[in-house]
Amino acid sequence: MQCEICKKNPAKIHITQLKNNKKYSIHICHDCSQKYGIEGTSINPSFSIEQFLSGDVPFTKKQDDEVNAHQTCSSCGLSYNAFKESGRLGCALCYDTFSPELKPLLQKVQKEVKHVGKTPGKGDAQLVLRRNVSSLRMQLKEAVGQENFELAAKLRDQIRDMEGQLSHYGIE
Amino acid sequence: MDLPKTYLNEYGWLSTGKPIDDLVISSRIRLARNIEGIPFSQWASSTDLKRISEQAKKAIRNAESLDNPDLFCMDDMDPTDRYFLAERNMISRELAKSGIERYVAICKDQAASIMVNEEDHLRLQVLMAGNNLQETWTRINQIDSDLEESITYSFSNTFGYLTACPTNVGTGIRCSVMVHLPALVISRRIDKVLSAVTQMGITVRGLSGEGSDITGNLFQISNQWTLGISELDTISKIDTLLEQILDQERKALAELMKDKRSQVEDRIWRAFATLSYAQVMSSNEAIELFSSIRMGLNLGILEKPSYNSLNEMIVRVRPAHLQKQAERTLAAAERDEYRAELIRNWIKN
Repeated sequence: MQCEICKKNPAKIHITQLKNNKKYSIHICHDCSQKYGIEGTSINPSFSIEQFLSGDVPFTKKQDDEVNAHQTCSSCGLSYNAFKESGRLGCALCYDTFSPELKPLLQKVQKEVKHVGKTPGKGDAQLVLRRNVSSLRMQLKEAVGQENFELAAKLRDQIRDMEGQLSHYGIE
Repeated sequence: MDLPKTYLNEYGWLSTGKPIDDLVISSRIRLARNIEGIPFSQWASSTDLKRISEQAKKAIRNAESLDNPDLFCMDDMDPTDRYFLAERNMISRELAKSGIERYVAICKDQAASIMVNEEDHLRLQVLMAGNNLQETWTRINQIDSDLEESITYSFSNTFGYLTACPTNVGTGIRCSVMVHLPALVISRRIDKVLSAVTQMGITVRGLSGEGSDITGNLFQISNQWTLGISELDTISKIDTLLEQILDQERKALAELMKDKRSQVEDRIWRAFATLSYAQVMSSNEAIELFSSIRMGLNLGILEKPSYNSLNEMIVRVRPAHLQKQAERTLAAAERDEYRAELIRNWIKN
């Protein structure tokens, strides 16, 4: 079995997690486990395969400091609880961060969770790229949810490519 | 900056569009927009709020369709002037409370306005008299596109235009039509008609919007859905439902005139008499009585005032408008006397 991250080395480390009655598995090589701080038996309990694959939380060895990071927007720092209390999100990225919680909410109050209608008309390449990244992130989340890791890996690579292009514009 | 004197004498949106309409008082559309890369206003730092207002002001100045509007900074305005604008529905009550870097730009005809740093970075609004959502949309759509020349909006392919509150995300559009439905209220059919409507992604509120009571048989019919439905479909959905509601109202009115003609006529003339002679009047009482006057006009029982003048009075009897007209602060009791006098003089002419 090949490593699901680098696609080069043989997978030596196999991790399975249960979350919300769903099983997530990841098979990786020793190098990648070192690189991303996923170390088999000593794995930190806050590590989530689902989030790691969806690229939501940049996973580093500093994860001890990021307990409940999945519940806090990495851009504006708003917690999901603060959103629940005020009913107002903190920034655009909150829509990505809280997407699993927001989608069922939106399904209740909106017609469908898919934008139909006017779109900004600029042919700005940078803008188009950013929108594509955002759209791919959503697809990636869905692929991970469906345990379609082959597609997830493909999407993740595309996102990395695009983010690389965006860094030329000086945007992370 | 003080409000120019012209704001007191010119009624802006009340005379735009189709001011002569028996049942529909106004059509309003607002769009919620945010600038990419800056937190939403509620969570933004004072530096971010300044960045938002600077970008917004630049875009407003550059937007051809706004044609060099008046720009007011809330913190520099007298509270009466801020509430005056809220009574005209040109700004929200929330913006009128003032705060850091909060602005409003108002077009010369007072039909279009843009609030800066309210719940969202930008809240665009176009308000016209009568049943006129299509024309209202054409105008606001142009303003939105013009602003976008200078601003990069926060947008996602899945969620559309990203807004502080997820109930606005997607098109960010809220279309509202203000309607007068006295016959449905009198014949107690209003709840049935409105509950049928609210099941279809449409909501009904009172005169002053969210959370307000129903006064003067005036209802605001607005869309609830902003995601999964386009702007034009939203408008057409409201138009279709509005036609059905107006049809029900006309039928209810015809039945009332058939079965209870004297009671209806009595109601109209009693309202006329009270407005002509009362010495003390609250704004709620005035708005309730105006409802009967409007019904008298619909039925041809009264020949005047005009619909336009009646629409203006709904606004003129409110506290900030009375105080601007009196050119001094009026306590609540004084306002009730001043209001009664204003109405007596108005109805005589």
